[in-house]
Amino acid sequence: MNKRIIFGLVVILGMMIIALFAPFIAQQDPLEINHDARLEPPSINHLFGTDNLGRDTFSRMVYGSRISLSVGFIAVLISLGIGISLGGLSGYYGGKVDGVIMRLVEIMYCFPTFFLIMMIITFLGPSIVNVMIVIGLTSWAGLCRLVRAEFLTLRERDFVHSAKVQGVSDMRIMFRHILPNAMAPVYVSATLSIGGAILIESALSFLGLGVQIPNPSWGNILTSGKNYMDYAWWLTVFPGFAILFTVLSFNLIGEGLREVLDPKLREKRR
Amino acid sequence: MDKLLEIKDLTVNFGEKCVIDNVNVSIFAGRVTALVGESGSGKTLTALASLNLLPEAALIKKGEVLFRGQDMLKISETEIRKIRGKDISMVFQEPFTALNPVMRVRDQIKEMLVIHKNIKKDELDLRLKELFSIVKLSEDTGFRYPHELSGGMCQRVMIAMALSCNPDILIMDEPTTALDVPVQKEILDLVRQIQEENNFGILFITHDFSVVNLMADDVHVMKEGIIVESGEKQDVLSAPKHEYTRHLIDCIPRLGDERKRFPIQD
Repeated sequence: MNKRIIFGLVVILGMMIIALFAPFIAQQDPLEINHDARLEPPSINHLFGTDNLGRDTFSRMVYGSRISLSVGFIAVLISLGIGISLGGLSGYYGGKVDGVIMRLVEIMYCFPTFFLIMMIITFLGPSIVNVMIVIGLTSWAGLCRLVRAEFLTLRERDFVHSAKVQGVSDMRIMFRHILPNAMAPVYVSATLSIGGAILIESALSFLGLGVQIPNPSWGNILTSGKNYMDYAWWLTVFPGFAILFTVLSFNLIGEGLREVLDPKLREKRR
Repeated sequence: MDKLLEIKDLTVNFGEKCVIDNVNVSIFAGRVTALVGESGSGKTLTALASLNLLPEAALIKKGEVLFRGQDMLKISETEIRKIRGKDISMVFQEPFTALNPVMRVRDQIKEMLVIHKNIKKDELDLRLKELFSIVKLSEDTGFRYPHELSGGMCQRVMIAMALSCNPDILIMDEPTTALDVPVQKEILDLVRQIQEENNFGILFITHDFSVVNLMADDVHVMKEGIIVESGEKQDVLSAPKHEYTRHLIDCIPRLGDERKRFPIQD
């Protein structure tokens, strides 16, 4: 099997196990403040050291992984839902429907996504649920185009025509016949967007617009660590690497999937 | 004879160009009506018109398609969808591409029954079993994907799909053109045998007079959107009146005969 997919899957599955069993893995309370143990370097007691309030960084990161992964998956699920339904309608019906939906996509493309998200979050108030929903609502445009393009070619295929002749309804043709044939590029794109969503969440939390202190997320651990970067390197290096490896793994899975699913790339490798 | 469907004075235009000109065809129970002609003569369009599935660019100038007293060209989309596949179904030329590549063939046949018939699970399984035996496929074949089957097997699956709801009319659009000759014969024999048992009407579209000879009862010869000759098979084959029909008949290869080619005009 593809090496990149294996590497990515191992890292992500590891992260998922950590997130699921967080209370068993993190032995210390991530919120407990201890003024006698401020900014301690990594040791047996505190694997990743402690922060400026004496909280255990390892525990905080373990709980932070829950945030990152759930934001990644839920935001992408939302954008998949919107992207597939709009892209499908657009590609299948064409004409006016297509015109309206494609203009909508172009409008979405006009905004610099990250600043749009920041603005909406500022209005709605920062919370992790808002972050998930807003990332989902702003990142469907690319997927929509992708699905539309697939539907445009597939709707001319004989089996779609034959389904129509046999009295299958439009909705059923779209979701039972065309969509399963269009999924390969969607899987690739969705996996890549999970990495993107995690990165956006970290950035928002870093700026104080995501998960609110004292609750931990990789992004806000970085924020509290940036003032002590000179002598407390562990506060920035560990969460930084956590983000790096998670996003990298999703990207590698996406790339690997593309290689496996795209017949043209497969031909070349032979 | 029981007249099932009647296409009356059908005229269809693509922009200025007339592609079907005053066509009259009737389909009878238990009989095979063949529509013969070269590519682009309008045979397939005529068939699609009877299901109101003409491409968007096509403009119906006049005529009607009568099925059970209704004009198929006028009834609503939801109404006609209940007829398509259930009362009038169709088998296509390319069995490979007409099946969904990512669905097991059994599920594709099952879908027809689920959409058109309100039946329980055990009845459904029974009917599927029956359909596989009708088209002489083993039931295990159902759990395979189209690319794992041969052309002849795929065409049998298509026929099972088309027959699943006991249609009154079966439209076959060059059903054997993509298959090699022995398989052609098998499929055609199978279709005739099933027809004898079920007494439905067949509209058979082809360009090949040797297939017409095997299958048809009534023959309509089409050229450039016009039916140039109609009649019973024996009359048309033994005493063709139109020059075009003679040319098509001359194309049938005969043993010991020097083969004549269809005269191509530039």
